[in-house]
Formats: sequence, C-alpha cells, structure tokens
Amino acid sequence: MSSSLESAYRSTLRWYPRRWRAEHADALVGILLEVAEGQGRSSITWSERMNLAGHGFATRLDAILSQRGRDLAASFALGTGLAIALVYFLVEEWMPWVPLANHARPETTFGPFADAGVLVVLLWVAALVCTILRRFASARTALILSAILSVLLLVSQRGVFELGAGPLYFNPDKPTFVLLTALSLVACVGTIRNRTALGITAIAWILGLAGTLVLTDRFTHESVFGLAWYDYFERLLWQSALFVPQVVSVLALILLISIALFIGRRRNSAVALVLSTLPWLACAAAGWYGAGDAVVSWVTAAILFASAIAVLVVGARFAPRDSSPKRASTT
Amino acid sequence: MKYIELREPTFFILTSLASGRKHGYLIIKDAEELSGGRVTLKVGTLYAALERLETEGLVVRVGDEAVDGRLRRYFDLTDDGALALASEADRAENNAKVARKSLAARPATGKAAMA
Repeated sequence: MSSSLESAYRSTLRWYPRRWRAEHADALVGILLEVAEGQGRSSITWSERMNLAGHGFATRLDAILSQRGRDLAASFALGTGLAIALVYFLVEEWMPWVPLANHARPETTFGPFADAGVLVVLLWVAALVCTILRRFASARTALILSAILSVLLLVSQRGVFELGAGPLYFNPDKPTFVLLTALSLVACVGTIRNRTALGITAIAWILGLAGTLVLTDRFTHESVFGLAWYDYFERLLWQSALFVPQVVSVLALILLISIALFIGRRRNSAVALVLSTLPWLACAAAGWYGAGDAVVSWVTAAILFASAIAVLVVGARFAPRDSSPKRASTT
Repeated sequence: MKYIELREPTFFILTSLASGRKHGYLIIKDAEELSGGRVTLKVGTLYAALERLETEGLVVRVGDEAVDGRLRRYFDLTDDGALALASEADRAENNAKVARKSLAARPATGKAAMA
C-alpha cells in the first residue's frame, strides 16, 4: 500500500518545480505518508491533491514572481485602483455639483448615479476595509467580484447619443474599467501586507488625478467645446496621456529599469515594477484596439512586455536570491 | 527586532517548536492538540509555512533522519523565532486583559439584569 500511495504523492508533487522537488520532495512525502498512516488511509485524498496542487503552483509562481514582489505589486494595485475608482465615482458617477448630470445620460443611469459602475467602486472600498481588518481572503473575494462585475459592465456598455450626432460617451468608461479589472487581478496575486505602500499610493493617485483634472480645467476648459473637466475625465486622462504612441517609450524605460534592478539584485522591486505595469498596458491596449494606426504601438508594447517577463524568468534562473532588506510581514 | 504579526497556524507551529526540535508530522499533531482541534494543518500548508519562516529567520532546519525508509526533516526555533512568539503571546495577553476589563465594566442588561 505504501509504495502505491507514495507514487500517488510523488505524482501530485509534479505541481512543484523540479529544482524544488529535488531538495524537498523526500521530506514532504515522508510527512504525507506519516499523516496517511496516522489516519489509517491507503489512498491520497482530494483535499490533499488540491492543497499540494495549490502550493505547488504558488511555488512555481514564486520561482518567477517572488512572493514579496507580488505582495508589493498587490499593495500598489489596491492603492491605485481605489484612488481611480473613488475619483471616477466623484467626477463620473456622482457629480454632486451637477444636479442635472443624471438626466444627461438617461440611457445608463443607475439610481442617482450615472451607471452601475458605482457597484464596482463599492467593492473596491470593501476590499480596502477587509485589508485594513486583515481579512485578506475576503479582500481577494471583493476584488475578484469587482473584476467580474467590471467585465459584465464592459460587455453591456452602452453609448450615450445626442440627436444627429454619434455617441458622445460610453458608460461605463471602457479604459477605466479595463484598468480597474487588471488592477484588481494584480491586487489578488499577492497579499496586501504593505500598508505604507498602499496608503502612499492611494493618496498620491487621488491628489495626482484630482490635481490634473483641476489644473486641466483651469487652463483648457474653454477650448474644449466649453465642457467642464468632470465631463471628459476619460478623454483627458486616457486619450491624451495613455493612448499616445509615446507610451511605448515609457514601457521601454520600465524594461530597462527592471533589468537594472535585476543587475542590482533587487528582484522583488523588479517583479513589483513589471506587475504594476501590466494593468496600464492592458488599458493602453484596450484604447489602441481597433485603431488602425496604433498597430505598431500595440506590437511594440507587446514585445517590450514579453521582454520584461523574459527578464523575470532569466533573473529567477540566475539570481534566485534577493539581497534586498527584509521587511515586517504577516506570517 | 522588528515586530512580526503571527497568524494562528504560524503561532501554533512556533509554539510547537518552542519545546524543542520536531519533524513535520509531530508539528501537525502538536498544532492540532495545542489549538484544541481548531488548527488542522495540511501538509502542503505546513511545509510552505516552514519554508517562509525559515526565510524570515524564525525557524531553522536542523537535520534529516531516515526512519523506515522515510525522510524526516527536523526544524527548530531560532532566537528571533522565540522573540516573535513571546511578543505575540504578550500581545494576545494584553488584548485579553483589555477585553476582560471592558467586559467587567459592562452594564448589566437584558436577561443578565433580570437574573
């Protein structure tokens, strides 16, 4: 019985990387066999399979994307997503200073709000509350729900038309919700333990976004069809800043920085940087999608990002140990 | 030493190792017993936790032993691990004191008042 059970365990351990198995498989199988013997079992259980598969996959992920790098990226992602969701809520969903705003988009209104995107914002706030309470599993659930809801809203996205004109707006805003979806997924790949990074990121983004909108309004609003800044949040932030071809130069710079971080043996920082770039790349790709003249940007961005991933993989192979200082953590 | 917050499974792994070096199966049994059956560690979870604790310098691998053709890997608590465990125990103790003090000051209400 022991040899067939041992074979079953060794077979399940294939979820772990080969190098890890060479060092730990015998010790792990030893514990598994003792536990099975203690319980009088002669076969592997379903929950054991799931547990080993989950930890094996996580170990494989760790080999490329370090746990600490993922944790840091998750903290940045929650801070960024929360700030964008809150600012979007204020200037696009609610607009309390424009009493007639809701009537301007009757096709998509959701109660007193411009559209059902307000539910996504609520889930981001719920994720923050759960994180503060250290309910990390609940925070992850809220983020996954927000991603699913964002996708559903994007699928059911509706245009807001004016007589004799094409669509003036699409509700909810596609780039914003693509960005929020990608940010929520990145926030799920790690555990948000770094509250300093979370707080600084959220405050910096809220001030940055609100400041950009207010300054833009101050200097340009009269030249853009007389519209107020809160009326074209997505146009100012995304179309004029993120969907421009020059973004690929920024991606190239990020690639160079991630290589430099690896050379400087700062693997966690490199992982966090590359993962944090992913949502913005997804958002830019969504903006470029369908635009014929953006194919070069699209392809270049994809090549650059693939190169960044290659850096992570090669770095994991040749520089498995990070010399960056350890930080306080929840274990 | 920096403060490290311990979650319950980790707390019982360290508590188990506080009484001396142990191998994986003993740690699982200890954690279940010490927690009154609340913490039932899966083997994959235990091993991942031990690896993480080793990386953080709270436990150390102290040797392997072959028993009946099976490998037993032994782990022990480091000085940093002992400090982290003591600090967590102090924190839990203080929290319990504060809770008991608040409960004692709680005005009698409902059934308790009528009794």
